[in-house]
Amino acid sequence: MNTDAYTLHHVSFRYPTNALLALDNLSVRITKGRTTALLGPNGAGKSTLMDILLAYKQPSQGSVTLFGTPLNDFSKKELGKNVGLVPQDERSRFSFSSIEYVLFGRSPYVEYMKNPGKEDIEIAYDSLERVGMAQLAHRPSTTLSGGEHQLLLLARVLAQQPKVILLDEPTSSLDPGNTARVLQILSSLKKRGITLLITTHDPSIAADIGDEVVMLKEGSLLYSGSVKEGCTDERLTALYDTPLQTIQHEGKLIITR
Amino acid sequence: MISKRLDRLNRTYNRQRQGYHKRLALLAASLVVFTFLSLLFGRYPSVGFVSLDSLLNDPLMGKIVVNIRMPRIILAILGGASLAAAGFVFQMLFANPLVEPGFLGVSQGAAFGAAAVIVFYGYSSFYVQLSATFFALLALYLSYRIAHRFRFGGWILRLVLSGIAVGAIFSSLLSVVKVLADPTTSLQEITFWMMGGLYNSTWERAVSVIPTMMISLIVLFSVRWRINLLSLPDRTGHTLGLSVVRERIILLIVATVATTSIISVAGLVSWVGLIVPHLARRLFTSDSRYSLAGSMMLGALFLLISDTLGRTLLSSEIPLGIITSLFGAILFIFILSSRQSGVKL
Repeated sequence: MNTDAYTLHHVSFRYPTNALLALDNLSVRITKGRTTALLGPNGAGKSTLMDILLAYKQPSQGSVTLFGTPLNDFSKKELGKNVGLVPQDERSRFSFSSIEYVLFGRSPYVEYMKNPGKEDIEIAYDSLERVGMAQLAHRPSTTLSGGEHQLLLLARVLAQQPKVILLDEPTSSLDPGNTARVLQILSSLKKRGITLLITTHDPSIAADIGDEVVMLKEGSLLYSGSVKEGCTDERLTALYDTPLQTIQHEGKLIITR
Repeated sequence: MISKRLDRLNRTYNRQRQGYHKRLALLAASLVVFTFLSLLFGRYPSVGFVSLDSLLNDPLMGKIVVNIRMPRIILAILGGASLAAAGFVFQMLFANPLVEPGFLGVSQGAAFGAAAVIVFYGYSSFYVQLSATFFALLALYLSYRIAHRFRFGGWILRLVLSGIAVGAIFSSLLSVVKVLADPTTSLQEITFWMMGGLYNSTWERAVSVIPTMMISLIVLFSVRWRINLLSLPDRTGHTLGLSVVRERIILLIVATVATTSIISVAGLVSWVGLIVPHLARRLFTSDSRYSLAGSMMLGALFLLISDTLGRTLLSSEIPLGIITSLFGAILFIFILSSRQSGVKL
């Protein structure tokens, strides 16, 4: 049985304006039902890799499969039902209410010239409830705080009900309270068998919620495998070009400078 | 407990929707009322409403109402709805509440296309419409392509800048056409036409553009919910299962065709596409399921009232574009100064 969500075979990517490869001959497997942290310094190629996994960019070389099927064989709608994204920062200039915003997540299930139906609206309310924002359902999303807005984006992906969720730095703009809330929601998603892929430049987050880690440096793969084995002092030091130490504390990995 | 809460939220949602539906119904009712009032209001035989007696007994009055006022009023209604819907779609698709088809060179391209036909061929509703649409789409295409080549600023800014450049090129070409025009005939026609007006509406002209406007409006209305999704960043739209670029191009073409249809018979009627969507978002929400329909109705009302005032206030006609600019600019100042603008700039 295929246990991979994503399988990447010798994937390279080059931006037209840049001579250097943004991704260099990457072969990685993202395991189904597990949480994988995509770790690397700024400019390592994490965002490019995300775009390729979303089929938003096409690799210059190599192939990507999702659940054993070539990514390009999925229709846009099918892809939307399988893969969801929580972007790092996304603000609309238009004052959609929170519930309207979350309802956008139902798009892959809504026919082309139709509007979302009763069931979609119920799912959207339920998703808002699950991120603890039901009381803000009818507030304009333009008036939400940064943390609330991040939770709103999470609610939208919950409404989308994908099998794989890609999260781009999901906790970078959050205070500790909201970070804890996001991590709790992610762990409940994990229990339901959703594959999570989280980009972060913060190794502590990777150690905290990741089962597996993919380390990228200058577009090349530095390591891919379990978090516990992967996050060693030497490897993290090499990844960030700065001395880093890991400490085991009550079964948790803590990273210090 | 949770389901009770969801139930309550659901009820609030339905109540809100009912509120929007009521407002839409109210707008539709006002449109019907104003249409009748406008049909019966004019300067013949004297300023004011037509009396029942003259409507029944004066054959000229009947002709004026049916052959002059009626096509003009239909054009005002559909034209206003088209301009407002096109402005709405442009604002959503470029995620920029400060644009309308005048941005991206669309209006200037259409104006040049129409003027060129008037000068070199003579006024023909069909050819004016064809040429205006062709050059408007050409301007849209050029703005889009040139923005891709720019090496400065983000996508929205690049598009605005290339739109300004393309608009200026077509404005210059329009001036060249004016220089070449016969000052005693076609120059006057172009000048008055550019101020915008429905003064020479006939059934023939109305019939030549009604189908395109109707089809464009129906297409835009039927995809109203998706217009919301296209206002999100491209990457988000893509992950929500949209063919972002293709859907955007199709809707931009439809919106452009709607605009040039009314431009080809009424000249440049500015501010409607910019201001009406703002009003609609205040009355409804930003959700296009309601605000697009709201824009269409408000646009229709706005142009109908402006045109009725333009043809009755003075003994000679005030060009429509002048009235819409005056009211539009005042409303614009008022809306952007108020706290609840419905958009974040």
